Parts: sequence; structure tokens; C-alpha cells
Amino acid sequence: MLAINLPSAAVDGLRDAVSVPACVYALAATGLNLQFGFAGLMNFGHVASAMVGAYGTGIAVHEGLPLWLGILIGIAAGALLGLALGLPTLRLRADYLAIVTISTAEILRVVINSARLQSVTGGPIGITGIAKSFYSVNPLADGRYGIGSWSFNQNTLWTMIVGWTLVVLASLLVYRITRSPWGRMLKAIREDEEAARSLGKNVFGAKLQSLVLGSTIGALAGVIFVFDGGFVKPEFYVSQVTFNWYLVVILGGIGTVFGPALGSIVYWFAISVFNSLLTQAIGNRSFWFIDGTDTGAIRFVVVGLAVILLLVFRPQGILGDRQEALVRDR
Amino acid sequence: MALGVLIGTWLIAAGPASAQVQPTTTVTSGSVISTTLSVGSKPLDGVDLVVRKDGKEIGRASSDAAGLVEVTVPGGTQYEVTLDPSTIPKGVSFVSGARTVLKPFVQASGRAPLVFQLTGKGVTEKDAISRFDRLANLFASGLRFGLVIALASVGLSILFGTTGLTNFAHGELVTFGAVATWYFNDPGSVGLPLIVAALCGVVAAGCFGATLELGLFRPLRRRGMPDVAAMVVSIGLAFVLRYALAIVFGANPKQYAQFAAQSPTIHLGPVDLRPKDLVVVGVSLAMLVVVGLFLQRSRLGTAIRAVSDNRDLAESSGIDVQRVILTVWVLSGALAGLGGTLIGLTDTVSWNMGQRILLVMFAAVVLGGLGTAFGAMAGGLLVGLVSDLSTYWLDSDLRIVVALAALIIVLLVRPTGIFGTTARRA
Amino acid sequence: MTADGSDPTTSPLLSAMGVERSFGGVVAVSVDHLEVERGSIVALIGPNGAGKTTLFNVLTGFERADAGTWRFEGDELTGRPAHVIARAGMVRTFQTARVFPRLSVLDNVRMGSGGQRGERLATSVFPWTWRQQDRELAERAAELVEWVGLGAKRGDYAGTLSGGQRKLLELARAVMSAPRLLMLDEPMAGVNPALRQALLEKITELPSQGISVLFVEHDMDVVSAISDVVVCMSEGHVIAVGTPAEVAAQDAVVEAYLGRSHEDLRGRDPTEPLEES
Repeated sequence: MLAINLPSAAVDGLRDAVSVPACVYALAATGLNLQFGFAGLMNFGHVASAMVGAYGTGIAVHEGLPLWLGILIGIAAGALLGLALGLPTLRLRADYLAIVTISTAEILRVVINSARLQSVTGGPIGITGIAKSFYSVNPLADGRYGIGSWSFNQNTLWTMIVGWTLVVLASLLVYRITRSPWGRMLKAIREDEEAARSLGKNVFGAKLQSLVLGSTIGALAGVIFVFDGGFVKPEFYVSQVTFNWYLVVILGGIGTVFGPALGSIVYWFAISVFNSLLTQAIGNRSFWFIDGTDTGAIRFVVVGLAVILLLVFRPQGILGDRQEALVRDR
Repeated sequence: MALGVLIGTWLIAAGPASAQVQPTTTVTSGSVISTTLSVGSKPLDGVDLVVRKDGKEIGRASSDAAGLVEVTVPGGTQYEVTLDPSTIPKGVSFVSGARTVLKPFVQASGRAPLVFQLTGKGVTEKDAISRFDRLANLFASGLRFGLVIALASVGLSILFGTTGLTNFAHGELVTFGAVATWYFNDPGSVGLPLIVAALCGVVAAGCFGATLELGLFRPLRRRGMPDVAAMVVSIGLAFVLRYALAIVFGANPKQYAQFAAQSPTIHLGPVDLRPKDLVVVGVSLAMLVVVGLFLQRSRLGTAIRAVSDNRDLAESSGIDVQRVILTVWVLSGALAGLGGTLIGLTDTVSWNMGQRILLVMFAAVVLGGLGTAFGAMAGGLLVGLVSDLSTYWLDSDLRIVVALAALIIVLLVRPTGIFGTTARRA
Repeated sequence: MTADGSDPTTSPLLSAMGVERSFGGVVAVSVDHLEVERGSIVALIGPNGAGKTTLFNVLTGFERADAGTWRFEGDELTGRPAHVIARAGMVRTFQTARVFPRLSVLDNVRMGSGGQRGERLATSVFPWTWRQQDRELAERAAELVEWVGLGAKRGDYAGTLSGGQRKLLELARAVMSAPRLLMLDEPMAGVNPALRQALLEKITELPSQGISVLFVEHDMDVVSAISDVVVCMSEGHVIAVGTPAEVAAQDAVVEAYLGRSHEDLRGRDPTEPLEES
């Protein structure tokens, strides 16, 4: 007899839906959407922007620089990465950009992970204890906030407040710039680069702007992630994370303003509820093909299936326009 | 519920790599600082590693015959780690400019692997011959790796040429072939002799490729799905296949039954080879020639090249494009599966082996010029050689960095790849 | 007066000298001299593979020239990027119409106008800096959508239009950019025969709006009906220039067409694949 506790799973879901990782995903996906959703840039190494943001801030704060400077360094690192990726590659074909970006992300991660850089990056272990200065400016009194098991301590809540505020600000910025002639031009470039060029639009410049801005927002996501627990570790920044963000963007609606944030909330809620139920159902028992340690793997199978099913049956996601999603290129 | 556990869960959930490998919580408190001391390839025995905290010595241990030395410390803080100069053999010294004191931050119940860069006069002279040996051996292993990559990536390239799909699930075709061969070979499952099992595995991988085309990608093309969306679908597919394989096959790497025992090595001049290395090189070379002949000489091969060149033109000249694409999927699956089986021979079979070489395969394909079969072959060989030879100078975990850096540099200098002639429009 | 001392009001709008382009040893374009006068409609004719589209691509910066120079309004434009050439007032359309499928018909046309303040990232954040201009441009765009007869479709995604409608949309979009020279690559291809006459009239109106036209066309009836000057190309070279009647009478022109295919003179099948790539 399986004991399924639905309310407890729902509470897990609600907690994860507003958690810091959910807001990190929301920010990162907002940046990715600006690149992929509006400009059509296949950035498969978006996780690198969060990584340089996190490491930029982490190393700076660890070396004793003030918090505000550390955060600025992290954000600047993201912008620089966008520039460094874009300047040489934006003239290449779309699929080459995909391969170059994923390669760059892997190179950066392997280098950061390398034992030779241990004194700077902490190597495979990473850097810990770097959130103290962030917590020290926390105006909240010590204690737990929330109802029952849906509650957070003062530092987590502080990180969540800052993080979600940034999500709202980033979304409003995206709203402003995409509901403008600039946004229209970006979409046009996504649709047909050559045609945009034939009308005198500086395609390269606009693509570079969207790549840099998206990477900067991605770096901000990395910075927030540092403050959730106060450490950076290379293994958080594997390429699979980028694909999770793609799922979040597709789920929320490609090329919509608030889709990424909503997509992230729904993603974390669904994954968490699913995880809870799965753990409850399997527990420590073993079935013929599944045992307790497989829950992680099952989750990825579900993520992969969700990507495929969404693109096939609901390409517009939650917020997108179905008609627009079904327009054929030719 | 403890807050620490909560945060921990979130972090793990956010970092998929750690979600698969459940973190092992060591019950014993304390962390380990470890290093392997060597000059060139020669391990240093009996050198003392000294760990200090605030100038006070808190731990010390001597290296063993393999050069390995470990010191257990409380962890959760920063230490100063040095080598005791009085125990360092005569003629051995630090590489000029290298740090003599390392200051790692060691996590509570973590491991801190360190590197001391040492060099030695006495040892280098003796190494003069072995240095050449090492290069020769790296060349041989690079050649082997490159041939396998070439074989495994040909399909990826032709598939792109004929359908425009950048298939991120190609790595899983590699894994599928290796895993299928393992099941055919495993005495507890089917128990066929390895060669028969490998044949069955390759056929199974080819059928699997056909299944993906018929069951997923052909219907998607019929619906008019854009190439970009199809590429993202292939990523989702890669997730599904990879982790389904992880569940079915298990997280632990396995070996083929008949190669579990070590065979005697063969000496070819300075190069030491295991018999299975020769098998891998021979099979890959032979198959590359067969595939090349197939593409150049056979009717079907010519049709594949025609579709690759100009799909509309091929269609209007009476070629059954859908059938050609199905053939390409079968070929792509079978060659990737063979590549996986060969990698399983020299290394091990594991659920993520394909994913690990996916980027290397992309590098090979792009280096050679996307969509060209012979370019992929040459690109694979080049990537294999360059990345293995680089370990002569660099740490072996930077192999992938070298391969990918080579890819990026070539793309920037010659955007159509080394062998691509005209710029194809996407 | 321009830098080289020529008077921009009397010198030709576009003049190209010695423009060459070859692909893998095959000469696609080798034009010694080509001029377009202000206020004229010039037809570019020639058999398939004559290099007409390649010449378009080279002059508008979509393909690199191996050699040659060209001036537009007295300014040297040789080797400049496509968007710079377009901004200078030389705007082209494509053989197979290129619209923005997931933008509305109206938004497609709005994309045509240059110098939009809101297209700068820095000012896009402050709507009050561009809203007024954007509204005016939207009105102008709506007029042009009506002008090409797509008024009923203005809110639809351009991706839902037929091939001929896309051609019309592309024309409206190009006119929106207020070019000095409009370069139309087979403007009639795929356009409903019922609409052809209307489209021809639209093109003949253009010079009065200050827009000169250089267009590629196969249909000799169309060419004779609207063009002031006809330029005939064959195998990359310009083999004849003159009024429609003069050019049609030249042996070289007849030979260029008949030497290849009798069909070419009667217009080409719009469904056949692109001629040059």
C-alpha cells in the first residue's frame, strides 16, 4: 500500500516555486529569452554567464573586496563574456554559434575546475563562506518566516526578496525594450537577418546588444545564487543547466516578457511535487527497474519528455500566442 | 526540518550533476589533503608533506612508492601546505616560478587534491628517451581515439547535411550501441561471444536510429517544425535517452566479459599497445574505408551526397529523399553504436559515455566542415590527436579544453571548416 | 559638389565600374560599366545565370566584389556593409520575397523606415522619446499597406500570406524606407495576374516620388511597358543598353536568349529553383 501525502508534496512544491533557485532560474531564463526568444540567438552556453557572475563576485568577496564592488565585478564579468562571445561569433551561422557557446561554457568550467587554479577558484571544491557581507546588510530580524513547513529563515528570505525584486526589475526592463522599435527590430532580425540588413538595420550591433544584455542578466542570476548558501562550485554550472533554462523559456512562452519568470515558478513547482511524490511512492523499496537512487534520473527523463511534448503540442508555452508559434517559416 | 538540509536539497536540485551522483555524507569528521608527487613520469617516494595552520604544524605524512601522500585535517578552514625540503631527493626542485607553499581552503569532510610542480636534473637525463616514448605513446592513443571519433561523428555530419538537424542526441546513439553490445555479451543476459555481440549491438543501434526517424523526426518534419525547434527536441530526446539508459543500465561503468582480463602488451618500437588497441584501430580504419567507398561508389551513397548538396534538386531529379534520410539515420545510429562499442572495449561502458564525447564529435564535425562526411573523418582524427598529444604538456583533464579551443580557433579563422569549400546557407 | 568634384544633381544616381565576381573560377559578374539615371526606371534582363541577382547582391553589399567600384549619389559605396548601403538609399528586394513571418503585415512595413529613434537600445527605454515618431511612421506604413492592397491583412502575421502577397508586402516595406534607388528582383514573380497591372502602375508612380527603379524581369511585355532603359546581361557581361525597342532589336540580345532557351523570352516558370546561389 503506497502512502501518498499530497498536501505535503504541495507544500514542497510551493516552497520550491518561490525559492532562491527558482528566482535564479527566472533571472537566467529572462536573459536567455532576450537572446533566444527575441533575437533568435542559439546560446547553448548561457550557464557560463551565471558561472562568471558567481565566480566574479565569489572571488572578489573572498579576496576581501567590499560587497557592492564584488557584485559589480560579477555583473561586469557577465557583460564581458557576452562581448567576448559575440564579437567573433555573431557573424557565424546560427548552429555554429550554438556549438561555440556550449564549447566556451565547457572550457570555462573545466578551467575553473582545474586543480592548478585551486588557489584562485578553489578548483573542484569551490569557494565557501562568501555570503557573510550580504547577510550582514539583512534588515530582517533573526527567526523563521512563513506558515508551518512553508517557511524560511531570515537570510534565505532576504536573498529571496532581493532575488525576486531583481526578477521583477529585469522583466520590466525586458518589457520596456522589447515593446519598442528596438524590440521589433530584434524580432525582425530573428525572423530574417538578410531582410533586416536590406532595410539598413545594423544586425550585428543589435544581436551583440541582446547577447551582452542577456549575459549580464545571466550573471546577475549567478550572483544571487552565490548568496544562497554562500558558496560557488564548478559542478553547479554544467551544460545541462542551460537546457533546463531552455525548458523554462519554452514552458513560459518563447519571446514573451513574463514567460521566463512564470515558467521558472511552474517548473520548480512541478519538479518539486513530482520529486516528493516519487520519493514517497518509491521510498526505499526497489521495483524491478527502479530503486530509490534513480529518482534524480527519472526527473531528467521527465524534463526531456516535457521539452519534446511542449514543442510538439504547445509550442507557445503558457503565455505565448499559438498562432504566432504555428507560423511556418516557408 | 533542518535548514541546512533544505538549502542542500535546493542546491542539489539546481545542479543536475550533483543530483545524479548523490553526495556521500561521510560520517567520520575530518578532511583529506592529498597530492601525488612525481618528476616527469617518475613518482617520488618518501617526501614529507607538511600541513600548517597559523604557522603551527598540525599534520605530516610521507609519500608512498606511487608518490601519493595524504594528510587528514579537521577541515573547514584554510591551511598552508609545503614539502619538507630535507626529505626532497637531491637534484629535485620546484619548477621555477611555481608555488612552494599552497594555501588551500579545505571544506569540512572534503578532499583537497593539490599539485606541486617539481622538476629534477637527475631525472630529466634519464627521461630523455622516455620523453620520446611518451610522445609516441600519446600519438598512438590519440590516433586510436581520433579514429573512433571520426567513425562515430560521420553520421552526425551526414545527418546534418541531409536534414539540417544538429542532433544533440547523437551521443546517446553512441551509448546505446555500447550498452546494447554489453547486454548481448553479458553472460548474465544473452551471453554471446564479443564479436557476435558487437555485430548485434551495431545492428540494434542502426534500428534504433531508424526508430527515432520514423517515430519522431519524420513526423516532426511533416508538421513543418523549424530546424531550430527540432534541434531543441533533440536535446530533450538526449535527456530522455541518457537517463533512461542510466536507470536501466545502472550508474556504474561495466566492462565486456572477454576483455575484463588484461592481455599481454605488444611492443611496437617505443609504443606499447594492448591487443584491443590494435583491434580498435583496425576496425575503425576498415570501417572508415568502407563508409568512404559506400558514399563514393554506391547508388545509395551518391543519393545521400546529392540530397546533402541540394535537397530540392535531388527531389526533383527523382531521388526518394525520405528513404535517403531513413538510410542516413540507420547509418548514423550504426556507426555511432560501433564507435561506442569500440570505446567500451578500450575504456568502459557507462550510461553517459556518449554525452562525454558529444562535444568532441561536434568539434570534429565542425572542424571538417558541417555536412561533409570526409571532413568529419579528418576532423575526428585531428581532434583526437591534438587533444591526446596536449596531455604531454597539460593536465589530462584539460584535454577537452584543447579540442574545443582548436574548434573555436578554426571556426574564427575559417568559418566553413578546414575542408568546407563554399559557405552553405543555413 | 562632392569630394571628386562631380555635381550630384547631374551625375548619374548610380554608376558602377569594372565590377567582378566569380565563384570557384566561374565568372558570375563582369560588368565594365553600368549607370542608373535619376528618375528613371531601368530594367535588367538576361537569360538565367546571366548574373543579374549576383550583380544585385554585390552592389547592395550582400556579396563581396572581387574587383570594381561603384558610386551612389556621388559617394563611394564599394565594399561597404549591406546595412550601410541600404541607409545610403539603395534598397533591394529579393527574388523569393523575404518577409518577417512572425511580425504583422503592418509591423513588416514599419520595419522599413530608417532613423527610428526607438531602434536605439539606449532610447528604447524611454518611450516618450520615440512614441510620437513611431505613431507617425505607423500611419505612413498603414498608407503603404493600403497602397499595395493588403489593407484587409494588416493585422495578420506575414507568414500567412501567399507568395505573391509577400512580394507586394516586400515592395511596400522597401518603399517605406524612402530609398533613392529601389532595386527590385523579379517583382512580378508569383504575383496573381489580376494584380500585375496594378503593381506595374505602382512601380511607374515611383519616380514621381523621387525613387528611381532598377528591376530584374523576364517578362518582355512588362519590361517594354514600364522601363525607360533596358540593360541586357549575358554570362556576367552587359551586352546591350538602350531603350526597350533598341535592345530588343540587337542581335546579341536575341542570340543570348535563343542560344540558351526559347522559353526565356516568354518569362520563366516561377516555381523553378533559384537561378544563382
